[in-house]
Amino acid sequence: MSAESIKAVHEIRLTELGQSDPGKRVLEANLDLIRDVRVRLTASVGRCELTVKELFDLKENAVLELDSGTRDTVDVLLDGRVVARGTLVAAGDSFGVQISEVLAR
Amino acid sequence: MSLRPFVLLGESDRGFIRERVAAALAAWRGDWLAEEAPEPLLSPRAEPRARRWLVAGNASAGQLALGCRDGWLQRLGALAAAGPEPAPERSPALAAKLGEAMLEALALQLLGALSTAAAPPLMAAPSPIWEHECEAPDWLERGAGGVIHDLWPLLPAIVALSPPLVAAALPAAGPRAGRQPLAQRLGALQGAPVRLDAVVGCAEIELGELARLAAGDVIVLDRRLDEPLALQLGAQPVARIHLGTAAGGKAVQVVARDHN
Repeated sequence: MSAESIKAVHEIRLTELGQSDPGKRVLEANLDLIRDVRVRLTASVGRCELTVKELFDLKENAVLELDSGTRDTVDVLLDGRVVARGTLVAAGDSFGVQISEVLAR
Repeated sequence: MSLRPFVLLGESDRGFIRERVAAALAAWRGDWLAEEAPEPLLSPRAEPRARRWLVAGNASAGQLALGCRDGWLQRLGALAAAGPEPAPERSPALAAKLGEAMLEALALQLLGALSTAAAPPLMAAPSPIWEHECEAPDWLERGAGGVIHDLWPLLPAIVALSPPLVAAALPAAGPRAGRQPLAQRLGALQGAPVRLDAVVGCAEIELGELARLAAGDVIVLDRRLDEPLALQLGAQPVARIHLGTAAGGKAVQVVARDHN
């Protein structure tokens, strides 16, 4: 369609949206809707706490003790929160985590 | 990863910038607006929401961007033309053009006011460019360090200053003499604790798979068996590590810095 064949062109004006009470819920909690959403899980063998000074002083070959002690499980984190625990395994050429426990919350 | 908000300057720095541009704003108001129009003031803003940006200055010495939303240019033009006959109602395109010209003049006046002594290269800055004709400056991205103001209460426009422009506009001595950024006095931060994760690897999965996850399942991670693990500060790897034991418990040894 050429520009000439359009007779009337108007700017579209948006109206102010009013403040109203919340109405009906738009969605029911339904896993089907979010089933395909991809998330990134992180497997952590433990944590350690350093001060900023210690962090900037960190040198190669330094040894840091982890808070996990002798516990041999690996934490599976979603956004920093533990969602599952498991054991470290070899899965082909890669590391893997075999789940032993899924955390309810 | 969490996003940082736009920088809100401290009250003394804000006051200083306001003082620097006050004369330029008043002159601009006198050129374009009716006597009774209120005095425009810079007031801090947390979000740079604008549809169109007008960019003036240069990236290294300092840049200033004026932002407006759809329809704002028209309102701005209407402010200038408002007299006994509110003509802009009949001619929105003309009001928008007038609005553009007003913002272009304002950009140059503000840039001049902010750059007189500290950043002389800005004085010879080229004409401001509308963003659709140039690349949007990356400091306008959330978290990149721009300082955003509203032209309150008068104008439907946003003023954004790039970090180098703010640095150039604020005095090196005087009111700020006693001011030392915390980061330059690392001593103050040295004792702050940071928590590091010894990360074996990551895996991307769908929420559907995550919901079905049960004991016995194996998640394959993105790390090969012959690769070192990562010591991470949040999502940021800081070093490559080997996992072992020390003092009877699990420990890691730093192999190398992380080059990412």
